Amino acid sequence: MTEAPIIRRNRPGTKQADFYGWPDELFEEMDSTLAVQQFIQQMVRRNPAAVDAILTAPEQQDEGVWKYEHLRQFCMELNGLAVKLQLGCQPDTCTQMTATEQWIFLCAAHKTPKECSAIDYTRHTLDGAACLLNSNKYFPSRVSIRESSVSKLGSVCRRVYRIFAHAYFHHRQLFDEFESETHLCRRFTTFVTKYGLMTKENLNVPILEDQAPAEESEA
Amino acid sequence: MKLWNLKRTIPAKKSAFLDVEPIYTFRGHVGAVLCVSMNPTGEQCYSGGVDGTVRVWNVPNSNIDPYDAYDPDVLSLTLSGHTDAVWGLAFHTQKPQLLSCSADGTVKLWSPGSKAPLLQSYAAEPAMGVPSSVDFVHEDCSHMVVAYTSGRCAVYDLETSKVVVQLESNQNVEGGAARDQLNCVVSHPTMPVTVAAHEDRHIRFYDNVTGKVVQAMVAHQDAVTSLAVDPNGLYLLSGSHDCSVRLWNLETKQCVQEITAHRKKSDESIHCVGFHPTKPYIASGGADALAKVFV
Repeated sequence: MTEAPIIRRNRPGTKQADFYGWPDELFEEMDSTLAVQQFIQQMVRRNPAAVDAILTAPEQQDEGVWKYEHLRQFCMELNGLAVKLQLGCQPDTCTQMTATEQWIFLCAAHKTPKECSAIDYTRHTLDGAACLLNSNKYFPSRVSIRESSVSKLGSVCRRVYRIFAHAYFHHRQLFDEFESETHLCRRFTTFVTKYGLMTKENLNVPILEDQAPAEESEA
Repeated sequence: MKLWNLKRTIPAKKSAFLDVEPIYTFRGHVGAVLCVSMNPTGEQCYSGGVDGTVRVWNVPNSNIDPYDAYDPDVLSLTLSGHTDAVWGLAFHTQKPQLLSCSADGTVKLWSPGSKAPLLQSYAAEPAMGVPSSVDFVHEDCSHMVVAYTSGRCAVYDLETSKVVVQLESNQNVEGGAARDQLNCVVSHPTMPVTVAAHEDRHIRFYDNVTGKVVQAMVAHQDAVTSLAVDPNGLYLLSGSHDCSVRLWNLETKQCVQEITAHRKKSDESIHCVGFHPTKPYIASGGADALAKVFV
């Protein structure tokens, strides 16, 4: 049998266990405009718990694009948590979006911020984030990100984080189930800390055991 | 899974195409959604996923506010039965029946509205392989056509589960190489013809009565992934991993238009194509996370 070229496709009929059953590709060899997304997804598949490795950018990778693609990936993976919450988070028990007792979060997806129930907040925030990240107005290209649009990433992170916080404080079992499979909260917290996208006070889920006390002043 | 109202476009400054935002997001599957179908009235839609379930959804009104309250009743039913990824779905044009094919090796027939939704389960002989695509035979609705990853394809009688005709395949019996795979099969709306999309870049037309290949053509420069026939049976649409969508005149089998759409991700480009049932629109869905509608 001659050596067949490796074709990275999930053809129809592929069994769930065989999905993505192809050898990893080196970033430098990825010949696609979607290489960054491919690379991140490959790293996540290889080991979702290796948070630092997943967040390490290849050399000379544009930081704006790196942050953008990671945020896209987080929003996509968070749908898994949203699906779990749809079953467990009822609008009559979680009538507002809260984490700890301190704050009620208003949903920014409406013309005027609205006090949505927790499940509505979760769905609207994820849908809104997807629309924003896909919008041609702010992100016309996936290969270079405008400076003016980079600031949008921070507010998306802040809102999206609250989904983790609500799940942690109010639906602990769902949160633990999800986190043990995906390690998403830990990766997200490490991501926003690494790139300064959120201030420490807002990170109220105690996910990083080795969270060092804040040295630098927060912007 | 997202629902779009094509009439609601977003004003964009200078653009050859219009941006549209989804009006509804269906969440329910655990893992990727692999196939979608709708019933002829557009009131219900169906999705099959990697998690092995088929879900029946009530389609919300097209004027819905995308940021409305969550209505758990949108998910009407979850059909569990398959034990592996569901890759293909087909809804009957006249009866409320749904066919699904899965990597678990079976094809199942469902009647989503009734008390016991699973009507029948069909398992093919192991030699046929794993089903990759399924369609009702439009011209004789007691039949279905199933395509397999082995490159084989057959028409079955839905009631007896017996093979009516095995469509000729020119692959080796022991072959089973990935190149032979059949990716998609569609039934012609009016003639006893089945059209099949192959991984080896061909589109083949089979006569449903004799099972023979009526015509074969190299349609694309890479695997052909999806097919759609317009409701009048005049045109065929094909999508391929070579990043192009092609429109073919079914009578002459000539390509009348080629549109380069979608960028490649790994080695995948276009996953599915479709015709609008009444308006002159065609659509394609790609690995680059874009769904495009062409006029």
